[in-house]
Amino acid sequence: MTVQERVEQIYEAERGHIYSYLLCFGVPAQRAQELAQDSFLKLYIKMTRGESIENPRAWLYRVAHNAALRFHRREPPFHALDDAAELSETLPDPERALIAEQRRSALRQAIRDLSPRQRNCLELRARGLRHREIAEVIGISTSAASEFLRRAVVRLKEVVNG
Amino acid sequence: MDSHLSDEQLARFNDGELSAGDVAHVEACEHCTLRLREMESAVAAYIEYRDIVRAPLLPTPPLAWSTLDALIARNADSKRWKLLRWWPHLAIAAASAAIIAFIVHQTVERPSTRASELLARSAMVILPGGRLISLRSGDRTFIRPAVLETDAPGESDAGSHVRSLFVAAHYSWRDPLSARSFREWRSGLREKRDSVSVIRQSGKEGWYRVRTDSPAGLLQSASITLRAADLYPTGETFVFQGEEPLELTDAPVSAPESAAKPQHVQELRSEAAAGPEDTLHVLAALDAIGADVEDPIDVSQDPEHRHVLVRGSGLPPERKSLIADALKALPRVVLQLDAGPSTSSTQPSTSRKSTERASSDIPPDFRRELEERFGGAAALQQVTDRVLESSSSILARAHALQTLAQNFPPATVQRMPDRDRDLLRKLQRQHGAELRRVITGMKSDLQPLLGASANAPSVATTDWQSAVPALVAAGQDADDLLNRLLAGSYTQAFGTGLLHDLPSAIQRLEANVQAQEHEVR
Repeated sequence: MTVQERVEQIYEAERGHIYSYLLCFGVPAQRAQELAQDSFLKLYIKMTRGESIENPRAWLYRVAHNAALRFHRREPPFHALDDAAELSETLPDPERALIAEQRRSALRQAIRDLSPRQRNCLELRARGLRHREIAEVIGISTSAASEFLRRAVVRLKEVVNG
Repeated sequence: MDSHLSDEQLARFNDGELSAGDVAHVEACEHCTLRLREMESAVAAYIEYRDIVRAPLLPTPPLAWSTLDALIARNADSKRWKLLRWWPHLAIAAASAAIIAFIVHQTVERPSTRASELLARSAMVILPGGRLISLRSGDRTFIRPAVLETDAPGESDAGSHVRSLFVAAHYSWRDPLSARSFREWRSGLREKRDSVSVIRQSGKEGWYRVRTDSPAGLLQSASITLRAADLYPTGETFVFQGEEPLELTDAPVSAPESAAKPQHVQELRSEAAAGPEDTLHVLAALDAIGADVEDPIDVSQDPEHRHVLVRGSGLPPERKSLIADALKALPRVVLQLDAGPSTSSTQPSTSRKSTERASSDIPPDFRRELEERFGGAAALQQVTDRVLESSSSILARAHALQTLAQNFPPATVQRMPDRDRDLLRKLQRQHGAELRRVITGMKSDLQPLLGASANAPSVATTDWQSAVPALVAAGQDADDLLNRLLAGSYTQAFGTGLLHDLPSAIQRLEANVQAQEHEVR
């Protein structure tokens, strides 16, 4: 498989994820799409130069993360979407719908109460990144990432597990 | 049984980063297995929330994704012509194949049937006269009456290119922001694909978005947003082949009645140009709802000083609505809350160098020293959270002061009436008081690292405005240092250097806060 074919595969699989990650920072849709495409082009250029990238997926998130930082030129608001989120699912069974809505309402509040860093770590964890990779994406130490994540999970656990 | 694993160790279990002994413990220990499942269920709940609650809020990519081939080719061309910074636009423009990447909003009924029905109903809505619309493409924005008397070009050639696109695409330039025009264009297409999305607000249907794609045409895609309550058209997006997307919005401009009468693009003339007092009143209104500090908003005047532009992005619908309400009574205001901060944004620039470096842990000995000073790992983490939040808050306040200082230099203040000068003084004092409060709290948190520090040195300035740039710089320096120290990666020696620099960085910040507290004269 050529480098281009490899990057094409990654591009097809990951571009929507990188785009939505950029949206989490409040980057406008058009700019987010440009930055996402830019990230994959950088990946292609780097790989054609023969530079090894151990984990292209984590590398892409890091490039996107830095692009979001540069876009805002200061700590990005990693919360805009959660603050805007409204419950919208309609289930056929009213009782089930009520329970689901109450649970999600509590969950939404718990997520809103997290700090931006905690949410950022949780978002990346939910995207399947390891602690070490989360730390590399955000540019903090592994132990700091673990601690942010631990605190976030502890808060959500209280909601999920009563 | 050995002692149980910590939360952090459990979290690393799924990463396969535990020792064989710890793995064996988890597998054998019911207590740890249960805790592990609880942690997994918390992350699973977040995923559920993300996919069900948040995902519908995400906008679809506005354009078709370029192929990698196209990206590479355009990049090569761009390099050749030294136009690298424009490559995304060129690449996007070259992508003629319309791919709907994903639809995140909820699709209802058969899209084409639903689209026809919504457009037909909206076309019957009687729209008020004298409306204005804002057209934005790239960095250019202009205002025009919503309805012109004719499709013919006016005296001004501004916007003539956009007009020619509409005419060539057989889309009404006379009355673009209307379901009637959208419907007429749509009915003339030989090949089209419709989609209808519902944008919810507070659990109810807030808006419908009808989108029609026609990849073969000059106008490749158009979407119109209709307010669910009355099907009033509030905005449109047009993607013309080879052009940057064009956004039309119903402009909440409080212009004089006579301003709505001109017939051609950019011929809008307000009776009075926007003055500094207009900007001040906008900032005061934003301050009243906390939006001058908490939201990524830019306030500036257009080059001709006709309007005060309030631009921002990434704001939740309720926040946008609150901001629109706060500003609706003010004259000469144009809201562009999906526009993103302007490229000339005066937001403070924090070069987060730590994010550019390869990551490694804080040296264990150094971390231990920090933990000892703060009274344990948990206390250190709590202080880290609080201090970094405080630092962000300081930067936001400094930015708000910078906006005031740039818009109201001493010469401008001299010409302002007393009541506006009082208003400016009030805003400046509020920001100063809040800065002092946050810095006091931060110093208290950092006391174990600061020790018995000297009082802040005084900084001489002639007026508060000239002190603000140094305040912003000091805020950025302190923020950078704190992020590196508390959440960064460095060697033992570098960490010692950071600790050494911390007291002077905080003192400098404090001194610059004091310096900008000169009275507004």
